[in-house]
Amino acid sequence: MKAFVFTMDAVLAIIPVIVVIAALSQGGILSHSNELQGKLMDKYRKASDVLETIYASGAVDELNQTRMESLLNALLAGNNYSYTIHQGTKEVVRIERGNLSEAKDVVVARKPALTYISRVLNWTNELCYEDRGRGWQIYTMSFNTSDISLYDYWFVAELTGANVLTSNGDAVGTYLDYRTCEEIVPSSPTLPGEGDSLCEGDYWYVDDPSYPTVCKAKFYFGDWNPPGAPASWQSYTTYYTYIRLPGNRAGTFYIIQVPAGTPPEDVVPQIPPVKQKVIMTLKVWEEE
Amino acid sequence: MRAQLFTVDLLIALIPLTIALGVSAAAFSGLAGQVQDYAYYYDAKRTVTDVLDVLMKSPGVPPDWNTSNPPEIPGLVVQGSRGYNNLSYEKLQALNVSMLTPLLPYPYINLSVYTTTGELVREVSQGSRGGVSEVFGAERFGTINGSTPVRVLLEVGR
Repeated sequence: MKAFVFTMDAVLAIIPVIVVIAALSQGGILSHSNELQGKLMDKYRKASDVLETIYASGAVDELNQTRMESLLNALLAGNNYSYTIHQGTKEVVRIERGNLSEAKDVVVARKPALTYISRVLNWTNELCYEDRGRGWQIYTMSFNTSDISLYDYWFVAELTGANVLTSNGDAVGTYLDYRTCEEIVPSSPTLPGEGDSLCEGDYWYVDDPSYPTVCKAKFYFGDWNPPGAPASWQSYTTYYTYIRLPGNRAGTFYIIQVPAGTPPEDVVPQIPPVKQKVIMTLKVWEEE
Repeated sequence: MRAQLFTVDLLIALIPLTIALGVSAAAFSGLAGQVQDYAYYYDAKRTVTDVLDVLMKSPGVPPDWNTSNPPEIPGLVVQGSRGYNNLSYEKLQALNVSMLTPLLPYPYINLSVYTTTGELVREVSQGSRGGVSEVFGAERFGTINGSTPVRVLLEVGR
């Protein structure tokens, strides 16, 4: 009887051991883990690729949200995502699709990048049209804005030698619009002539009022819009400025981006490009 | 009688022990197989991923191989590109399968580049998918010449 009790005891003890071994022998534990790991790694690589692609496209330099969103939607079709850019602790860009709270598996990729905070955006202009009646030439320059609440955009004119402004008749005008030359000219060919005169009026800053060779004006994204302009000026948009120049005048013109509130004396054509480090974060997931 | 009792008891005790040993042997054999599969799978998968990394993240050696000499390493990134994953259309056109075979010793190789709308931009291949029993693949994303978003698929089989 004693021996029998001992045997039953041994049998009972062996039962959990057999259960554990049987569970292990079923397979699937490792293969399931492999499958999940492989799937998440693939998704992580995909997220990293998207960040690399956005960075290589130059969209981060300008914080061009439209371009970033277009790439995200093209490359992450079928996935939900949350894309952010932080400058220090401040979030400067957030683009999202889907609901993170319903995410099944989330992968997170990060990449440090650099974005311009001040630089000369454009210094080349094209002839838009000539107003032969008044002897004016109208030039146009385009520029892409980042967040217009974070940055100021300046127009700077550098006039040379005999082209120094002497009177209102010699004045250079500038005018901001969201339309291209081709869109403006057929409807209102003299429009840029109505802009403010350079080096005159409240909007203009002059380095040396007695000898105004460098004059600058901050673009005002406010309520006073030129005819046909949008009701509100938008960030991350391409704008055009039109420059009215008397036929016998010449100069070099610049569009300069600086952090909001930069004093006029710091806005100069020789401004060095300054970059700031930002962190891009991309979360990618599928929902339940 | 005592001796018989002892023998029967021993036999009864041996039954679960034998079962346990049998199941254990099967379990260990299964585990060994899984580990082997794991190593086999990751070896192939890593090779494909590494080669795709080289293609997507380097301009190649020499970096202007599409206009000069055949490449020692066939990277596809635009020469002088500021970032990775920015592929050169000219290099994609210049790429052929003989540039991939030194890196991918498999009977079946297929590199396909699609736009995100599904249009095939370039395909380079060797062998047929039906002629191999196992296929390993990897997928990457980027742009062509900084503008067109594309999906790059590399598959190998043995």
